[in-house]
Amino acid sequence: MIIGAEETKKAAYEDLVSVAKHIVQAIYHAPQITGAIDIKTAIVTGEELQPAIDLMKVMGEVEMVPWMDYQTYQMAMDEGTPPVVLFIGADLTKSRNVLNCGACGFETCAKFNRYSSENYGFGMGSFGPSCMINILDFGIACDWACAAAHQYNIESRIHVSVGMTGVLLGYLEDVSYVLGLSLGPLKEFWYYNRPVFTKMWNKEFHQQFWFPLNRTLFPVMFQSFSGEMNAFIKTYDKWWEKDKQDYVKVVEDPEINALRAGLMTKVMEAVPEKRAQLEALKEKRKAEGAK
Amino acid sequence: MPRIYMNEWPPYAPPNLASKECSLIAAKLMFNAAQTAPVTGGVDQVEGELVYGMEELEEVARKMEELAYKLKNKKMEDQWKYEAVMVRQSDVILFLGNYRAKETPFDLSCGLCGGRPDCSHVYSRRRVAAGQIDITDRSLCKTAIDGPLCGVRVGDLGHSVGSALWMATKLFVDCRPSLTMGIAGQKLGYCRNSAIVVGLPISTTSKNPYVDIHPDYHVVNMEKLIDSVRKSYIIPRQAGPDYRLWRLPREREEEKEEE
Repeated sequence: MIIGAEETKKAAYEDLVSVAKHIVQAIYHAPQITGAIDIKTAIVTGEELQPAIDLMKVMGEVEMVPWMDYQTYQMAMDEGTPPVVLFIGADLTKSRNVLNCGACGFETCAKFNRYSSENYGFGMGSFGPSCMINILDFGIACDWACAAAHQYNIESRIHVSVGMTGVLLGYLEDVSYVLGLSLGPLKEFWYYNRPVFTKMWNKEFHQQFWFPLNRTLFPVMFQSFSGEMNAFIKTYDKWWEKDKQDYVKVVEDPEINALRAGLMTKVMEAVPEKRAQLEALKEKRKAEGAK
Repeated sequence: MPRIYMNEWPPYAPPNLASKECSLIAAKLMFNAAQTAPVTGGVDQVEGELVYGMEELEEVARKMEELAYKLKNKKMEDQWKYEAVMVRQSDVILFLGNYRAKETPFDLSCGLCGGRPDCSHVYSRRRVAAGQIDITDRSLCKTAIDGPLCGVRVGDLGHSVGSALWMATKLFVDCRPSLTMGIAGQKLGYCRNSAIVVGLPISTTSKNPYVDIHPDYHVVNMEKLIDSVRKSYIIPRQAGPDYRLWRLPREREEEKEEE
């Protein structure tokens, strides 16, 4: 028997799902401090992943990291090699241990549980409030997932962004927090030294996007003499040749405030449609299975 | 090359110390693994400290026994005491702490800590000046861990602990994560910049000392049993004859005498 070049690559890619299953075994074997959290997992790939990517796109219109991840996932989809995403989740909002450690800010687990029930809500990536020791145990399990993936020497990265879609779109039910461990495509780098950015990067992008972003995020790095009352912020390269200098000023920006304030409303508005898409795909698969 | 003989018994004898030194190397490698664990944003936030040596480990065990009563938590009392025994049976403890969880939250508004799209759950329960958390008054803490903490940072500590544990399995040393050890270690000043610390006791013995723990383990365990034999056997042996004047004839010798 000979399995040729294309077929071996295809077979290896298809086997990412098997790798994901092995990783699930590691998750359930991870040592927990309390042994009290109930971890749930789901493996998602193919077109069922598209609603998650679409939701990241909505969030990415305001926030940079979801935008980066949206671009990265979409490129994999477009190239016909969607990642295999292992969603790892748990309900972390109830303390099932009796440590009364205080890490949550309450004197006892009972007081925390009461507060948690009364103040249950969603932030920008998770439901909460959460028991800190649950989070610690959940972190150990997620790390074992990452370590297991690493042992297989495949490209992988654990994401909060895609994890958030796991909670909101119902890839996992009855969980408060989800992280998404992406496996593949079969490349040396996909989530690091991201090919999607290598492709879009040019001098224009660098000068119009990256450098201004740096000046916004780290103005002190580009600041001139700090003995000035108004120290100017250097422009790209030959900053001394510029007629008028730029300065940092702390101002209220109603436009950005509105964008940020409206972000989660926008995300939540997009959820029902994406959920419906996902449900339709599930039904389609079920029907295919029945045939 | 000198010969290095290793044996787990008796504890702290030179052959056992030679073995313990290997556990110390394993613990150091575990810290390296913890440091390279995937953490949110790749931000450095984990500190580690090793406790090695009989006296030093005894100090941790005694602190745990003290806290078993001082915290007045009946449901946890036994766990504190049982895990104190495990400390004494360990070769080394690796403490891992997150030094950002209390003072410099991730500021992501994720909702993990408080279920709201902001970080008010943590900031509103702390002294704050200039938008920064002021940790200078350490007397404010009334619980074992000084919370509330940033959930993202605590999760990241979990990742680091996970990688350290994974390395332990790769090196075939026994190890478990323990919060009681972490709390005791933190109170003794280990990982002093961290509000939350996890203890990772490491052992290289035939029997994993961190599993198969029966009730009343703090009073019935290998060390106590051995001590029990030491104190009990001493008494009946005093009823023996003078070994120089009387010896027990062996079976074959008796047969020969009969012939």
